[in-house]
Parts: sequence; structure tokens; C-alpha cells
Amino acid sequence: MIRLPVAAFGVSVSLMIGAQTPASTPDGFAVARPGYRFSFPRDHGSHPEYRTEWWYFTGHLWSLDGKRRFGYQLTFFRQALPKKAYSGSASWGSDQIFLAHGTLTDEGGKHFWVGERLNRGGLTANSATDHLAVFNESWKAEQDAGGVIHLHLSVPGAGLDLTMQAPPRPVIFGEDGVSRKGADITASSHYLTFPRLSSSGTLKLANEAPMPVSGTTWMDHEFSSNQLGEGQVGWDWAGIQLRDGRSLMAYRMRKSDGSQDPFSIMYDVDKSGRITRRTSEFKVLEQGAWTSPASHTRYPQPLTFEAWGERFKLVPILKDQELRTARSTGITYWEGACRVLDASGKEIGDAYLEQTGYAHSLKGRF
Amino acid sequence: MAILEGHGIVRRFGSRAVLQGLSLAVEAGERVALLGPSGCGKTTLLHLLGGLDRADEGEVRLDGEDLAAATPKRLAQLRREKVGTIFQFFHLIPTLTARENVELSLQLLRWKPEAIRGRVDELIRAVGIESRAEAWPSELSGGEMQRIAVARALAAKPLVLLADEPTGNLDRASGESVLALLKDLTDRENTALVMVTHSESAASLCHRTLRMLDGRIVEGSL
Amino acid sequence: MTGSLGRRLILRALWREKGRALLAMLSVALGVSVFLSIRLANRAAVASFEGFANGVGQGSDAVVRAEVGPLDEAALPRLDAIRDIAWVRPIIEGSFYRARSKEAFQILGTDLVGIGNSVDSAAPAQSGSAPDPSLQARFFESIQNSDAVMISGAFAKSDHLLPGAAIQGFVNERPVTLHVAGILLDAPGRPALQRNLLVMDLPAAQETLQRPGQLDRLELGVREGASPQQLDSGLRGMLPKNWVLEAPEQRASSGKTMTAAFRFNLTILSLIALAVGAYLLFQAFDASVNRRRETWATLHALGCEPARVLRFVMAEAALLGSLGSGLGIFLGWLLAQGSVRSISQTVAGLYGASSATHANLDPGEGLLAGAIGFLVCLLAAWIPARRAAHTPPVQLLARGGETKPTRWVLFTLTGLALTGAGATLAFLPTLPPGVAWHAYVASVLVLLGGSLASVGLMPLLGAPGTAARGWNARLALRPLRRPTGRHGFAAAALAVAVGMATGMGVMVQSFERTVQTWIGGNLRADLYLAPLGSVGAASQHRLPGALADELAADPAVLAADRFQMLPIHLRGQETLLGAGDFLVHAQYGHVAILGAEDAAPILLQMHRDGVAHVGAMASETFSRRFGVRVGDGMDIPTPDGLRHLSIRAIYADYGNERGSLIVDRPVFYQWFHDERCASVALYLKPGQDRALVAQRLGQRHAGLQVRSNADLREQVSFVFRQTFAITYALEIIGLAVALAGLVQALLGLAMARRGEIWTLRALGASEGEIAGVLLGEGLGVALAGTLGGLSIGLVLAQILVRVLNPQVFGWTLRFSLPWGFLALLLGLALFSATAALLPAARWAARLNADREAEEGA
Repeated sequence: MIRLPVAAFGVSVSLMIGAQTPASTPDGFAVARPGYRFSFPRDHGSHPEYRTEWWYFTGHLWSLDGKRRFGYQLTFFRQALPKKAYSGSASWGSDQIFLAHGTLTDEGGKHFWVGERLNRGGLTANSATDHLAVFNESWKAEQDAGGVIHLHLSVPGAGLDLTMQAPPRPVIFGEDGVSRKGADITASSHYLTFPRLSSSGTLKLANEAPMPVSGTTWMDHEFSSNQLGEGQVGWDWAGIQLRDGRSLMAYRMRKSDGSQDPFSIMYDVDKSGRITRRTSEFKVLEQGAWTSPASHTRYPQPLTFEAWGERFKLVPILKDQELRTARSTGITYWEGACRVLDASGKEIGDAYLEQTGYAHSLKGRF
Repeated sequence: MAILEGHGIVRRFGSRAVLQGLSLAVEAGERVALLGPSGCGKTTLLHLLGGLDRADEGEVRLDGEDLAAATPKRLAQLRREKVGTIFQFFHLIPTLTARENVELSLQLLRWKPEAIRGRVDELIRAVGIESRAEAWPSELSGGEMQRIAVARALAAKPLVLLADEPTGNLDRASGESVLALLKDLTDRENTALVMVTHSESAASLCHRTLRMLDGRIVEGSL
Repeated sequence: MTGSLGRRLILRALWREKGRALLAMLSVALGVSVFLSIRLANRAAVASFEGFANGVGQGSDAVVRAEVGPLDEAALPRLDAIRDIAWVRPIIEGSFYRARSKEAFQILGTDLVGIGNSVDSAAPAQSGSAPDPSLQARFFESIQNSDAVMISGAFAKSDHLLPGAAIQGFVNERPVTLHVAGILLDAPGRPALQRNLLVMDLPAAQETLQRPGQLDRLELGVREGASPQQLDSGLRGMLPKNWVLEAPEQRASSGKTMTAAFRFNLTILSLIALAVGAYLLFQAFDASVNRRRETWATLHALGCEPARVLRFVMAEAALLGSLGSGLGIFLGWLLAQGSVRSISQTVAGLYGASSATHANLDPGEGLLAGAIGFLVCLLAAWIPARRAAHTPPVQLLARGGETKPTRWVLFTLTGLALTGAGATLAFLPTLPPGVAWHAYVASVLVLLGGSLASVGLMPLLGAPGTAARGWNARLALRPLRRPTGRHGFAAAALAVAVGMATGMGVMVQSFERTVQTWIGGNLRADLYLAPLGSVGAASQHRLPGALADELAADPAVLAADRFQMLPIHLRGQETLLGAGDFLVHAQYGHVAILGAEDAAPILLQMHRDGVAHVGAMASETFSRRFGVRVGDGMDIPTPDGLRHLSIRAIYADYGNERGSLIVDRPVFYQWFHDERCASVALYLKPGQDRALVAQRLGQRHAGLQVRSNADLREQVSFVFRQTFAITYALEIIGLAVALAGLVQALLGLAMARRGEIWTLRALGASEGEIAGVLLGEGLGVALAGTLGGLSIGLVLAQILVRVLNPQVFGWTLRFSLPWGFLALLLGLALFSATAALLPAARWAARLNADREAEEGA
């Protein structure tokens, strides 16, 4: 799913001093404010008072013998419609729209499956407000009483069922529970992440018997009412899972003049889920490009993130992992599984990379 | 006074002038033969004399009446009352018996049925086809048919009898007998006769012979 | 070589005789055009039904419905697993009546947000451009307003409606105002959207139709990578009870059945024009070949082989045929535009909204009609052509060639034999219901045989000519005694046209009288109330139970009989399950039960038996369709499972072709928990003024129509007239074509009698007298054709009334002989024949003799 900008941490805090964050937006949606008290499992659920929300799962999976490698992405997106007197019926709501993107990457078979869904809140898609339980038609992400998250994703030609045990508390990005996006005080979100979930399940490909798979999943959950900052045309986001147990989240925002937005940020999270470092001073090196034959978009790949004296080169396991989501969001972007190589070229982990704004500016989309 | 007169008759068909300023006069009771090669306009002249066609130029008078001035209705009336016609191909109505064909002329004149019967009987006897009176034209020989045609033509005692090749389709014997009949009957009723013919023997029955060539009378007295 | 000869012989000749060529071309064109126009208009009307069935979105692979009644949307999540391989589109439908224009509309409610999931993945991607904010706003409009509708482009255009416009009308009997949220444009390559379709978002539709939580059907389509077989097998396991899987063809077929009555009329009629046209063509070509017999004889004499002569004639026919067919296709398309509107209106009136406003020229139909016209032309020329090719030259030149009398005795006997065979075929065998081929074949036999036999009437009519005294009578009638081919063709063609008109006319009259009698006898209530705009069985307007209660409680009302109707699937067929107040009906009403005098005891018994031992009345159509009789049992699907009932009586019902099964209201309510009703019949207390009560009720409930028995009868007459208006129009065309042939025949006959005409003129007969003779002959032919046609028509009507209608639709009609209608038809035929023949006769009377023959000397 598209990842929205995460506000720079320390830089913007000073701006907040003395500024009053309003409780709601002009059209009546809640604003993400500091001091939000998180409680789980409730906050894994839906927050309909906020305009936008998504649950984002990406992961790397291997067959039991390790010979076949796959990547997957499953994102549930909730968008509230402008508040009106009439909001449909309970079964067919006209106040919330649910979108979903799902992909599967087969490295060996060189195949990339994409699916998308668009439904209204009600019988065909919905999310619980008291725990994680979101579904869009047959796709679902649900956390049971024991804390195990169950995922179901199906695209034409492939179906995936996964389970993963989630720790009691997620990583909460930002300052005081709020993640700032830009200069505007109301451009903020509440942002939760499980950067490393050990996953296992079954992958069913067409003309094959169901295949047991296992691997690691990265889960994001964000809700807010105001998004993009000024002058931003797109971003590159990476969720990196290193073999040494660390997880890194890098978010580079690009401005219209091509430069890196100062709100870009990179985090280092340790094995236990604690944020150890963060910085805006990181570089992104472009060492080549891939052009999509379908959309003729040029994506700079592979990308190398350089921070704290370390280098992380992300090499896609399959070049064509582009999503052209005509039916749901109408946005074309690249999101795919990558190998992570260090400066010497040694494989040190796995990552999911998201690149937006290359096909077209994201201005006006959010 | 001539019973039938024509002065300077011109008749054209398209660009072709069939009659080119022809004049003639026929007296009451007079028999006139018209001789000439094919296509010289004899039949056309006959039609004009009988009011079946109109001249483009010139004058045709029947019993003193100018035919050019007559309406179609009047012409028809004249044909009923004063003109009799005999054709080369007989032209009997196929769906009428011999007797009925003769009756036709008188029915057109709206004679009473008893009067018609009397006159028709008389005519049938006169032309000598009593035994064939109830036959259909398809059952009759050429000579018999022409006799009936003669009877039909003379039924109303016309002033003029126009005959177009009356013996043209008959063998010699029948032809001669029909000609004899014509002479006899026209003499009796003092009917004028204008006869178009190829046959010299037919012409010999007439008082006068006119020869035509290229739409004009070239020989014979006017 | 052949080219230039052909050009001279054929093209030049045709050019010089333009009139004759034109007439032949027009004969072809007329036949082709009428045939084509009916088929095109037919298609358009039928397509509009199938359009409704297909709804707004892309075609689906399967449809899920309830066996009876609506689907409960709460059970929808049970199908979640199938969404891996198929998209699911929920649909609800209802009726909307627009007061201002008195038009019926169909409301189609579907999930407008989820509809994107079933869009063709090949559709062009929207990526690359920012979403149009006005489009987004429009979209939100359509799902965030409970009264928003999307209308068709055709409706927007015809009524000048823009987004935001209000549309006022009634749903059930409730006044409702809808607002235009958007205009649906036709997708390229897909059938045009129905004009009278209003698309609403699903929850808004459910609210507007007052049916919360209900759906009428689900449409499913396989996703990429899955197959319909997978869908089928997957669904069968997960369908809740009472939900059935229906293949899309079944859906479309219901539309087809609904218009069957109508389409059958039209199809039969489309063949008249062709038949009559064919007769004329035969005549035209026969005459044409004959006229040129000198040419053919000369060619023969010059050594041209017969085959070549044949080819010349056929080439001429082919040329005329293709030109005529081409013209006919164009005229047919033109004619279709005119007739489609009227057909559409009729269908709309009978069956619900239909919106065909124009008929596209379907290339297949055009080619079919053109090909038929062309082939008939060739066929018509074949026989005379062969004759011309193979007859020795001498004979060709013989004078009597044209006027050879025809073997009328043979024709008459053959004709009578065929008619007899047809009648036997129609009446003797008893075939299962729905099978009617024997009646169709019989009709053709009777038409053909009758037209042949009509030829034999001419000698009869000509008989007085033999003994007649007057020369006019003799000359006019005697030719009829030996009719020629010309006489025969003209009489036969007229007989066919008159026969069809008579047959259809008598059938329609019988139908109307039967229904009127039925109404008069059975509908005994004082007032009949139904929602405005509900016409026929297809209407979905319903009165809420509370309103019916209010009406029943009105101080002027003695008793109220509530009638409800529910479409139901029985044994794989669509039919209707109805509910009536048997008690009220037994006391005050009247039902014509087949085989019993008084229905009251049976109704009372059923009322007393109640739910314990359910009895039902079946309509005649129902009993024929399902093969049930009194005493038989049936299992009826209800939301709570199958329920059993027994048939206690069969009653006559001309209301619909699907048949109906009626149970007592308490039983219906127990089974379906549905208190609504389609109509209410009120019996007023003695002394009440019907008109006043009607007025009062009408004023209080603006959405109701209040009618008396007389009103209903008038409405039935109106519906009949509308339904059959198009057939009357076509019959007139058929007659006109036949009359054209009559005139052509007379002209031909006159030409053949040129010599006679000449003789008569020479003898001094007036033009008027000669014209009178020719007119007399022509009228003799016309009379033979007309009388023959009337006879054919009566036999045909018997087949239609006694065999076709019962077999196809299952109802019994009483044959009634409309003397007035027959006299009118006879008078009309003769009058128009006279009017048509008169100028021709006058013209012919002025014919000059064959100049060439006379110029011999």
C-alpha cells in the first residue's frame, strides 16, 4: 500500500510549541494529536472518526526446502467519505469506502500477481473497531484472542493463507504518539508498526498442490485525517529486515525539483522493537533504472540507502513488481520484495521497497 | 353531295407523313376500291374516314359533318349510326356467338330486343349462316366469320361501309362469295363502300378504283 | 459479345418500359420491406426486454434468485468464499410511475461502489491522470443521497434533464421525488441502455421501494483465471436454502415468453406481405416474358440456344430482384422506425416499460429479407422463362399465346384438397400444450389451398354472362368462365390478403368478446383500486397492508377483496402465485370455474380448510402449462421450505400468459409473511354512490387509480386495440399490395383484349361503355378473391381460436362471428377494388389496336 509521509521527529517538535492543534478538521474528522493514549487490541482496530486508515502487510516467504522464494503484499485501506445526513444502510454504507491491494511475487516462476478491491463499508467490506479484523470480500486480516493474526489473500491464479504471532505492543513511530507529515499542524497521523512477524502458512498456486511456506512479515497500521505535505511529488519507502535482527524503516520524500525533502526520515529498530536511532541525514543512491513496458514509467533501481556509515542496497527479486490500480486508487507505483546487500555485496537481509510518484505526481491524489 | 369527303388530308406518325394531302369524294351508294402497295397509308385513310382517327391537317366530312369538329362522343355516335366496318382479321368478339356478334351493333344503338331479333334474323339469312348462328367464332371458318362481320357491319343500315382487306385472309372461293355478298347488300341498301384491297377481282366489283402511293392518290378520279 | 447483347436486350428494354420494370421492382420492394420492417421492429421490442434482464453492468455468467420472493441480504456473506473466483453484483428492482408523462419506469438498484469489481480488466486504466474532482463529486452524489438516480442518455436527451433535475412520480402508491445525480452513457460495443431505466444505489433503492434488507437477484461473473464450471460447482455447495442458481438464458427467455403473444402475431403477418408479393411477382414476370415473346422467338429463329434465352430472362429477373430487394431493405428500415414506436408502446402498455425508440438495421435481417426477395423474384421468373426458352418459335408468335385459359378445375380441386388437409391437420390431432406447429402448417395450407380454390369462383361468377341479354354483361362476365393465368393470380393474391385480414380480425373480435364477457361476468366488485402505473402482471407496484386495511375499514365499504401476486419458479418455469380473499369472493364475487356452476362452495371449503389442508385455484393457462387437473397436488417453495397444496378448481383467466395459482390470503400470509397487495376490489354498501366514493378515495390517495367495472372493460378494449393496431396496419398494406396486383391484372387483361376494344370502338361503343366492361371483368375477379378470402378467413379464424391460442397460451376463446366486421371487410374490399380499377379501366378503354398487325395492308 501507499505509505504516507512520516513527519520528521525532532525538527518539527519546536514548531509545535505554542501552536494549538485543533481537535478536528473543517469537515469534521478527528486530527491525530499528541497525547493519544493507545490501548491494544482496541487500537489495532478501525478508527472511523479519522478520515483515512490502512493496515499494510508485506512479507517474504520461502518454501519449506528453501528453494522457492516469494514476496507478498496485502493492504487494506479505509477512506471516509464527506460527512452527510444520509449514509446508506448498515449493509451498504455510504460513509466509508474500503479499498485493498494484494500482490504475490514468485521469484523462480518470474511471475507477479496483482489484485485490487473497492467496496463500501457494510456486508462486503468492513473493519472492527475493537480489535484487528478487517476484510474486503474474501481478503481478510484478523487477530484472534490469542494475538495470532490470520491473513487471507487471493488473486487470480494464487491464494495465500498466513498466520503470525504478534507481540503485545507495536512500535509507535513519531513523538508522543503522533507522527508529523508537514508544516501544517493538522497534517499528522498515528502510526503503528510490527516490523518483524514470523509467519507461516499455505500458498496455493494454480495447477499446483497447496505449498507450505514460512517467512517474515512487516505490518504497518496508520490512521489520520490529513496527509501529504507541500511540494511533495512522491516517495521511496523501504522496510528492511536484517539478518542480525535489526529492522530499518527508510522514508525518502522527493520534491518537485528532485531534491530530498527534509521531512524524510530513517529509523533503526532493534530486536526487541525499540527505536535505537533515527536520522534525516541519509542518502539514497540510484544505480540504474528499470522502465515498465506497460506504463513506460522509469523506476530507479536498484536503490541504495546510506546512513550511519552503513550501506543497504535493495535489489528486487523480480523486476516487474509494478501495480497499476485503475479500479481502486487509480495510482501506478512499484512495490516489491528485494534482497538487501551491504557495501561489499553480501546479502544481509530482505526488504520491501515502495516507489511512488514516478508514473505521475501524487499531488491531488490524497 | 358526296356522302364521304376528304380534302387535303395529312396524317403523320412521328416524323413520317403517312398521308400527304389526300383528297377524295364518295357518293351515296358508290363502291370505291383503294389499291396500293403495303405501307402506303390505305388503312390509315380508312380509319380517318371512319372517325377512328383524326387527321393532322385537312378535312373529312361524313354526311356533310366535319369530323374534325366532332367530339369523341359524337364520333362514336356517328360510327354507331352511319358507319360500318369490316376488318381483315374479322375481329369478332370471341366470347359472343355469331348471332350475338351481329346483335352487338344494334344493342349499342339501344334497339328493343324484339326489334333486334327481327333484324338479326333477317341479316343472318341474308349472309347465309343460319346453321352457324349459335356457334362461337373459334368454331367458324374464315369465310363464315367474315360473313358475320358483314352482317354486323350492315346491321344498323349505315351510310358507309368501310372494308379493310375483307378477303385478305380468305381462300379464293370464300373470298369471292363474300365479295358477291358485299356487292349485293350494298346495292340493296344503297350503302356506300370504300374497300381497301389487293385483289383486282375485288376492285372490279367497284364503281371506281383509286390507286395510292406514298400517301397520295395517284390514279383514279377524285 | 454477350455483354452488349445482354445490355441491349435487357437493360435497354427495361429502360424503355420503365413503368413495367418499376412495377416489378416495387412488388419485390413492398414484400421485402414489410417483412423486414416487422422483423426489425420485433427485434427492437424484444431486445428491450432482454436489456432489462441484463441490467446495467457487464453480462454475467450466472444468476442467483430465491425460489420465491426476495433474497435476504443477510445471507449474502455465505457466498464470501465464491468471491475468490467470481464477482457478485446484488440487484433489486422495482417500478416507478412518472405522473406527468404517464410513463412507467424500471428502478434498478445495485451496489454502485462495488460495481467496479466486476469491470472488465481490459478496460483502460485511469492511472496517469488525477481524478476529475467533478466526477468524484458526482459519484458521491449518487451514493450519498437517498433519492439519487442515474438516468439513461436517451431519457436525459428526450426530456432535457440535467444533473440535479427532479423527477416526480409514484412508487407503489407513495409520491416520490427522485433527483438526477448523473447520466449513464452507452458503452461502445454494448447494447444501448434502456430509456426507461433508473439506476439507484442499492441502499437508496431499498429505501425508496420500501424493501429494506431485500434483494431480487445476484449476478455473478467469473474472475480472470476461473471458469464458469468452477463457479457453478462452487456455488451449489454454498447456496442458502430457497436460493436457486439460474443460467442467464432463462432470464432472457422470460422476456421472450412475455412477448410471445405479440411476436407471434407479427411473424405471421410478416409472411402475408411476402406471400401476396410473391403472387404478384409471378404474374408480373409471366406478363413480362409474354410481352417479349417476339424477341425470344426471333432469337430462337436466329439460332440462339434455349439455355441462353433462359439466361437472358433470368438475368433480367436477377437485376429487377436485386434492385427491388435493395429498395425493399431501405423501405423496410424506414417502415420499422415507424412501427417500432407503436409496438414499443403496446408492449409497454401490456407488459411494463419497454423503451425501444428506433430499430437498428440488423445486417442479418436485412440480408435475409433481401435474399428472400431476390430468390422469390428468380423463382417467379423461372417458370415463364423456361417456357419462353423451350417453346418453339412458331408457337411463341401465335396470337392466342397470352390468353390461354388456365386449368381452373385442377386448381380448384387441389385448393379444396389442401384446405381440407389443413383443416384436418389443425383439428384432428391432440398435441401437448405449447406445441403448435400443426396449427401453423395448417394455416399455410388453408391459405394456399383457399387461394387456389378461389380461382374456381370465377367461372361461377361468370355463369350469368352466358344467358345475359345485354352486351355489356356478356362481355364483362363471359371471360370469367374461362379464367386465364392473370385472372387466377390476381384473385388468389386478393384471397390471401383478405383471408389473413378476415382470419385475424375474427380472432381478435372473438378474443375481445370473450374477455369482455369474462370481465362482465367475473369482476362484480364496485371499485378496483391499484397503484398508479401498475399495468399487467409485470408491474411491481404494491399497496402496503396498512393502506388496504384503511380501505377495507372505510364506512362506505361492505367488503374488500385484496389480491396479491408473487412471481414464482415452479418446475423450472416462471409463473405467478396469487392470494385472494376467498371468503369475500364467495359471498360477493363471482369466478367462472370450468366444469362447475357455482364457485362459492369450493371457495368456502378452501377458506375453511385453511393452512391445514391447503387448496388452490389454478388458471386455465396454468393447468395447461403444468399439466395439472382438479385433485392434483403441488409442492410450493416458500421461505420456510416446501409446502403442499391441492388443486380444487380451474378458472378462466385472461390476465396473463404465465398462468396463476391462487390461494386464500391467510394461507399466503402464513407462508410468505407478506401483507402487501397488488390491488384491492371493494364491494360497497347498498345505497352508496359509486362515483362519489371513487372520487373521494382517489382524492385522498393520489397514488391510486380507482376504476369501476366499466372502466376496466374500456381499458381492456383499449389494450386490445393498441395491441392489434399494428396488425390492422399491416393488413391494410397487404390489401393494398393485392389491389395493386389487381390493377396490374386488369391492365394485362385489357391489353390482351385490345382487338375487342378496338372492334367495340369501331362499332361505336363509347369509352364509358367499354370501361364499364373492363371494370366489370375486374370486379368479377375482385369478388372471387374477396369471397374466397372471406371463406379462408373464417377457416383460419377457427384454427386461430380453437387450436392456436389454446395450444400456445392455454386459454379457451369463444368463437364469435362478427357479421358487421365481415360486411365491412367485403364492402371495403369491393370499394377499394372499384376505386383502383376505375382509372385503369378508363385508360384501357382508350387503347388503340396493335398497330403493327393492322398496318399489314
